[in-house]
Amino acid sequence: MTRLVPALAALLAAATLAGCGPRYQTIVFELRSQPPIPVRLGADEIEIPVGIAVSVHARLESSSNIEFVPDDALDLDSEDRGILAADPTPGSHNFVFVGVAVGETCLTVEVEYEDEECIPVRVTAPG
Amino acid sequence: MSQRTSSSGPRPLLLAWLLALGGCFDDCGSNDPYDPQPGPGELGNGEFHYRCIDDGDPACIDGGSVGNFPARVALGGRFELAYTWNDDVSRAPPDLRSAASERLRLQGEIFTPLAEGYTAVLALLPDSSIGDLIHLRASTPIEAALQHHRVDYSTYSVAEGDELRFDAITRDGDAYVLAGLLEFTFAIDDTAVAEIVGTGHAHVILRARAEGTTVLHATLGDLTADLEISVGQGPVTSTDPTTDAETTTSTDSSTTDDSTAGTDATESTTESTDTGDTAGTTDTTGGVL
Repeated sequence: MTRLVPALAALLAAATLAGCGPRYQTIVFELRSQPPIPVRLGADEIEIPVGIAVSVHARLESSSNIEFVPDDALDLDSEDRGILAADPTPGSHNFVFVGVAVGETCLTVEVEYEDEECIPVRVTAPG
Repeated sequence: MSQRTSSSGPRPLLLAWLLALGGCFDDCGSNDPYDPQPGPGELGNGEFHYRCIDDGDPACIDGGSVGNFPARVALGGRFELAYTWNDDVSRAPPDLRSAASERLRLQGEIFTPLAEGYTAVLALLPDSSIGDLIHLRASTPIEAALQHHRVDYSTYSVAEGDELRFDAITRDGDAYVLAGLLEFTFAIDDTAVAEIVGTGHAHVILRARAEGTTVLHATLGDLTADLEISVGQGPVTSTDPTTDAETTTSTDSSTTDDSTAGTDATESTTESTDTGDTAGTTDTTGGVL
């Protein structure tokens, strides 16, 4: 019994290291509203005209064979809320992006309380 | 007890249904002017209600009709918004916020567009998350017009002694009548023929004093609308707002409906393409905006 506990702990640690859980690969934004002016919502860049608000569902993609679930913590934080506001809206992994002022910033993707990336954001003047 | 005095009978239900369907057909015991139909929130959780500050807002002229949620508002035009939830109308209303304060100013409860184009209004939940939103489109007024019962006129005949109200409105480059309360100034050339006996933010009340012709001017910044007023001994000009038909019951008077400027367009705020209704000069539904 005394030998079994360390063995199980070692096994658990090895499993954790090997990634027995979802592993962040990228984020996909699915539109939940239809803004009157087109917006671009990609994992590599977000472009939104000033004054426009768009609701999105953020879908996390995993590089392991275990997928993310709605209960996994996800936070999207704008580095500069004076340019882009990213606020939650009811529903798991649902957010509203708001173009507040023309400029550039980035959107931090925080999954399970760890920063994964910061997506470049451009808030553009109205066309 | 008879059913007539019962508070739970079908009549109160019918009344409540009618009010819910069409908004307030009366002023509901307050001094508020009539308001247009609400606009659905883009997240589908409730409705935004456009509130006219005053009946000088073209969305509520005369308080005489319940129109659509305004498609376009004037730069500088003031208005209020409210919000009700779909699931429970008694649920506390959210705080409303402009998405971009440099484009759409919110001071107290009054919104004022400061920049052309779309700007969202956000309905905030108590935890600061966003419960709903709607986009408003602001346009620059490029022409002004004077209306009586929502019809543009460039000349108008009136009988001596009569009093008449004219409303000043603006349109943008696409001929949309613009919502929002604007501040016009009014002047009349010959006060011996007709005098101004009352003004509001965007309306004037004239009294015809003596036979003759004069011109009424409504001014908003660089925009001016002129209306030639002919005062006769007995002319009465009337307009049927449902048909745009005019009848002049005096032979010595003439009234001209300014048809070139009387084109009202309608637009859904959520559609990407505009559709213009160029068929008439009068919006019989009140949805002129």
